[in-house]
Amino acid sequence: MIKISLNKGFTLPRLGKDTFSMLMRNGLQYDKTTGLFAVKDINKIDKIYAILSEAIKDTISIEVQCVLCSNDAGCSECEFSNTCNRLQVASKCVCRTCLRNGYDNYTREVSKLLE
Amino acid sequence: MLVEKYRPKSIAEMVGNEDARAEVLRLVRSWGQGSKHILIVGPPGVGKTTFAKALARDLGYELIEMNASDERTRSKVEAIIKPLLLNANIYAKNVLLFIDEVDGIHGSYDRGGLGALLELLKDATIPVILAANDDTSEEMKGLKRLCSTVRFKRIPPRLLMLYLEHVLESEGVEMGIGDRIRIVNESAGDLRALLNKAQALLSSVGSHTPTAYSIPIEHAMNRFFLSSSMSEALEALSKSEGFYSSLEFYRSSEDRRLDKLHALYASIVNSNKDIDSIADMLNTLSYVDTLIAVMNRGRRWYMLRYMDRIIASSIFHLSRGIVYNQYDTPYVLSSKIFTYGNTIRETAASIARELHESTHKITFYYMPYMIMILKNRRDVLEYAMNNGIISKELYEMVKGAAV
Repeated sequence: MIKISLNKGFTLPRLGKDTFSMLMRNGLQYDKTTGLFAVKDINKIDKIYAILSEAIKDTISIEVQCVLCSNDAGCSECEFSNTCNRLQVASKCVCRTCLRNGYDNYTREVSKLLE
Repeated sequence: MLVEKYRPKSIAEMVGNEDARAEVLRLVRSWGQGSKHILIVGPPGVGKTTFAKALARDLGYELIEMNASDERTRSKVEAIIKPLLLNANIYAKNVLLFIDEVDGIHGSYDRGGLGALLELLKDATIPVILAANDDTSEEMKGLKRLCSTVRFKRIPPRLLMLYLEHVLESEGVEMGIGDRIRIVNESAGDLRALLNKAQALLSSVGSHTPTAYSIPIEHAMNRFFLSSSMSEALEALSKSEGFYSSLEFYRSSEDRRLDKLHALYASIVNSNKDIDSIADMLNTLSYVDTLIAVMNRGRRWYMLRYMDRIIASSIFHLSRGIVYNQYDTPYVLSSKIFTYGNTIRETAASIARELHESTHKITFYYMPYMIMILKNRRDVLEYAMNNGIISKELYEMVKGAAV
């Protein structure tokens, strides 16, 4: 399974020159020093996903970021993983731990981000 | 209406699209004459209108709203917006113009409204926020050139759940995890749909009490055991649902049906009923357990309706006076298991140290023999020989040496 993390770098198998340049034109970026890919334009995630699905014959999983603690939100173990369309939902969610802390904690933390 | 009651008053009270909210906030704060206006694009129910209203309130703007799909002609657009833009300076407060459903201004054909809007936006002296469900049409291209586009996406299910739980808590009502999950899934990232569905579920029974819909299994079981009539007992059973405080305990509907059975089983085996009554009730549960397995295997959900009826009609009379118990082993037995378990662990650890063996090996291989020997007070050597552990020759040799 190929995991595309929206908040940090990730690796991809060798894709070939054409696919690579197509990905670069569609919102993905590559860091030569670390060898990691990163999603530069979140609004193009559906295009990135489509290109990768075409090029890689493997399951592709998108991992969104927890807006509160900045860790991975844990999409693969999420209760809603079967129904959540990660290409259509916002790029940030909450992880299980932060979900447990409730709405008041969420608004408190988000208001800090909005200051 | 929950939708109105829980409409966020501040942008920090909203859920989802945190980056997009921060981006619009930044754009409005830094807006000056000549800057681009802001076009918010996103599907219905993600909070575009609510955001504009909350933003105006947070930043101290006087918000003037207009629905573009209602005012499509050039004359109407000019009549509404032109005076506002020309006289913006005479308002005591800062003014923010919000044009909703701007993708509807051209409708099936252009009536001049969009052209008028574009001309007015070029010279606007106040910030304008426009909202659209879709920006892919040709007509929207001109508008997008004048605006910074910010996309609001569907709200992730976990955030919808977070908000739903906040609303339920504020309303002081309980809702089973199954209902909550179903509502969140059906809402598909639309917060307005979520609140409408919650409202419909709460009001469909005309009451905001926990009795109205699925109820925690503990309450349901106690209500079942305390109910005075068969119909009341059946109602309690049919509304019972595995109810957990956290989503991590949520399992499939098949599992939750078994939860009901487990709760009944635990309550019955822990009761003070006579042994025959307990046996009768457990027979019924065993039958229903088989029924559930058949249902699950064959996906024959129509059989579900019989499950609660069989339970209610079979154990109603026998189960009066029982109270809910979550532990599926009677206390007398569970306390023995706990005490003996501790003793066995300590003994095994002690023997293991003496014999230089693992505790596991002592517990599972040596101890059964040791217990048998001690219990029957047998001669160890004789026991070993009789069970083929040592040969007769070895037995006699050791016995002789001992003598």
